[in-house]
Amino acid sequence: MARYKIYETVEKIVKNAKQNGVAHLTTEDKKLDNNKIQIKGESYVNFGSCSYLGLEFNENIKNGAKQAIDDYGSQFSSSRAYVSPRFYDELETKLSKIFNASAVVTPTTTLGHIAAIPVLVGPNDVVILDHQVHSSVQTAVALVKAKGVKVEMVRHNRMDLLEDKIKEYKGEYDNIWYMADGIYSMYGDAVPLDAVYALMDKYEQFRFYVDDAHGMSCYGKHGRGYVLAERDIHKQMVMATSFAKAFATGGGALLFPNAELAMSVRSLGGPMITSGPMQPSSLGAAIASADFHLSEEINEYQEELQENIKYTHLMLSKYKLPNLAADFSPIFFVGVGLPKIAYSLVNKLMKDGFFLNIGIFPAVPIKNTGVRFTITRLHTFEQIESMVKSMASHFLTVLKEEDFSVQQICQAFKIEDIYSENLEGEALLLNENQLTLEHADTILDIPKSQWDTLLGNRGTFDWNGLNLLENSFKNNELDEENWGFDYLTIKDKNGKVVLTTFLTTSMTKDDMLSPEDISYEIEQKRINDPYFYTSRTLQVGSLLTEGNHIYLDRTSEDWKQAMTMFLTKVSEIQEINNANSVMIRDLSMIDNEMDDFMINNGYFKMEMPANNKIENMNWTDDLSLKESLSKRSKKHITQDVFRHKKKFDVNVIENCSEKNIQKYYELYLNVKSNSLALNTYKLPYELFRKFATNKDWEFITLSLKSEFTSEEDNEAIAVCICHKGEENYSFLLVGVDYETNREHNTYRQAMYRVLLRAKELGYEKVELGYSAVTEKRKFGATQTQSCAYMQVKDNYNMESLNALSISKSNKNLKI
Amino acid sequence: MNLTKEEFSLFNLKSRLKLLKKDGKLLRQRYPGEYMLVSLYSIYGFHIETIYHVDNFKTLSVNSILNPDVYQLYPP
Repeated sequence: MARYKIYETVEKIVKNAKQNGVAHLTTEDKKLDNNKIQIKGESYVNFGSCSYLGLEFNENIKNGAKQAIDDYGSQFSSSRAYVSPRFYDELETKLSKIFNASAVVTPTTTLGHIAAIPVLVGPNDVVILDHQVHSSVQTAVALVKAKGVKVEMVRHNRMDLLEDKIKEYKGEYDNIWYMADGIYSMYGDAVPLDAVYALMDKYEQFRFYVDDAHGMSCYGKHGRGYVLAERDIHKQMVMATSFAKAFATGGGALLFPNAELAMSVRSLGGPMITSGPMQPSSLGAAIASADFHLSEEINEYQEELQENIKYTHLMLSKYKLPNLAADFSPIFFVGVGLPKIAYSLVNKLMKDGFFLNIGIFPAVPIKNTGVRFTITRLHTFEQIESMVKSMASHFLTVLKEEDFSVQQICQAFKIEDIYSENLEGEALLLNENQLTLEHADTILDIPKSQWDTLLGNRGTFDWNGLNLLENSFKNNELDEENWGFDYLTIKDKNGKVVLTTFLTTSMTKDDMLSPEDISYEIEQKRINDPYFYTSRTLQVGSLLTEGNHIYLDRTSEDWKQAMTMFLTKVSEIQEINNANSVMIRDLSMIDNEMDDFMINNGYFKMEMPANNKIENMNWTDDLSLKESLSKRSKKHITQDVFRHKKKFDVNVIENCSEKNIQKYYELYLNVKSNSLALNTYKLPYELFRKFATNKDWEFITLSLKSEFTSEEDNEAIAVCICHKGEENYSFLLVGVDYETNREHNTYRQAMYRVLLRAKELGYEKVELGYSAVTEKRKFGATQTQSCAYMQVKDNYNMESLNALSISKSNKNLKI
Repeated sequence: MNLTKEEFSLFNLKSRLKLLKKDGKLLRQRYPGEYMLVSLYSIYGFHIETIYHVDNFKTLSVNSILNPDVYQLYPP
């Protein structure tokens, strides 16, 4: 129902983070002092540095940089394809010793990926990305995807699913690449190396490409990183690493199992030819850092870092903070749930003299926002405990201020709530404005007059319409044909409604908005596995209703409080109904205040498909209708519509027989099975029976006159199902016989007849719904762009669909 | 924030000294031999003994006290 609008959400998040003083900051120190930084005149202990061993202050490394500048100047400006400064050979030799592998130095790790991946991955290879692999790897993979290489995702660290894919593809592809991080940058967890090495041993075609940026220097002999800490590089793997974290010099390296492969990437990798080299200062520093790594001294540094990591875990546990990080890595993540809580908490920590980062969308799902911080060897136990103590002291206060609970955090992160009972004064949600929330699960419990006064004129979801939907989407055999209904009303202290709306919970196809060719292939899978790539969605409104479903009194001073209360209740319903995603939809596309509110509350913004509406009904006959249209549409309506008009018998049917309902349902299924643009489940037959007996609904049928058909029974070849609202006439569904459509332009004729019927009934507006924008424009429809705010608990399916590589010419895609 | 004896013992010698410096209180000291200085600390509700080699300027051990009789070894 909605399209990605990720950039806008990310931009808002960055803007909000900047406004809250926690992002895009600049240090003011003339000279850095250990792990302290100064920002806006205040001094902070830096808990955001990835220089885990604190080597940036090592005298030998600093002197290495200085000497290299003295020897070669500030830069050596030549492509490595022509000539490399001497430092490269020395550094690559030392790195080969550190890693016991063939090394190629790259200006950055990202450029390393861009150099290596297009050379390593062949046209008949398949790439399987770990769901959480670093975005720099995904950026490089996009280059091979653009060339038609098949790209897929696998759930994070699920080696069983990875092996299933290897088995499936080993006969079809030359190589099966799995791409992962050594240590993941948000939660600090690691790739399961034993299992990956076992897969490499077991399957000759299996290849492993790993980015060990966060593991470099911190683990293993000579600081060779987490991945190679306890084993040598495998003949089927390639590793990328970074010098811009614990190695402390900038730059990166690729490690290969043999010199031939290293030389291929060195010779053919794009950035190795066309990008500038690492500069003398970095190379000189890197040589000195490599010397340090080859010394015994690094062992002591690594141990000191591990001691600090251990102490931090103990402190977080003792202060009862929801720490989600792995117990061995220097990356920590305290879950807070929503961006607004993270901003506030980090802000308070800064006031206490501690600088920490925010782990936020798109790096993590937006509802899994957290305070992310790093521990280095330079931190003292005093600094660590003071920071954790400060965080704990503010944690509950911030939750209370933002109307959120520890329980909600635990739900968001799917962790056991071992924190609430130990936290004194656990949040009782604030309700200073004395709002009351009423929750019903049927429209029968809502006064008809109240509902229709506030929402009755907005589409097909007036009181009667919802009653019909409720009766149609229950007691059906299939899961997707049974919906849950929830009605929420929030009133102020005087009993005045501030917010009212309804939500439905239903099974939806995750590819609902994917390109049709992806949906086509997924539908092939669904023949044997009907619920493949499906999940439960809780949405404002329903799959069958359109328009703004939320009555919200924005003039009320309580509206934000009411929205907060509403979203809290929505989260509760989501948990109870086990819905993976929540969609607050059909809201105005341009509403900065709402954008900020929703994003800070953990929702990302998406663009909905355009809604079509005819608002100009000021015509009286075919001629004036034609005159109201654009030049091109005039031609269209004359040739494609008016020319065929005389062929059709048109009937409006308010009560029809079971046989007719069956016929109309068949016509509807023709359209449904031909359209994957908005890939939804077919509607239940029961709904059509309800339409047939409800006075607010009517069927417009089109059949060919006897002189235009050889068929004897004059059966309907098209049906339109329309709702007669108080102000709007809504064209909800269409059914067409495609065998006659091409010859008689039946679909267009049907739309025309809907307009005529609306005119006949005196309506001034006709709702034409989503999709078929081009066709609807031809009849003078205008498009309204609205947005949805979404929250997804498990975004694997969504991202996996996004990662699918589908070449238009490749119809042999397998999921 | 207090650590338990078990948690304290998870740390290496250098870290234990850091913890003593941060949260410990020196109670008593004794010289059992020419080169050894043994110190008794109170920390997190239990006691720790450190053994320091005076000539080498090196702490040899930092351990919690398991045997309560050891207190009697210290001069009042």
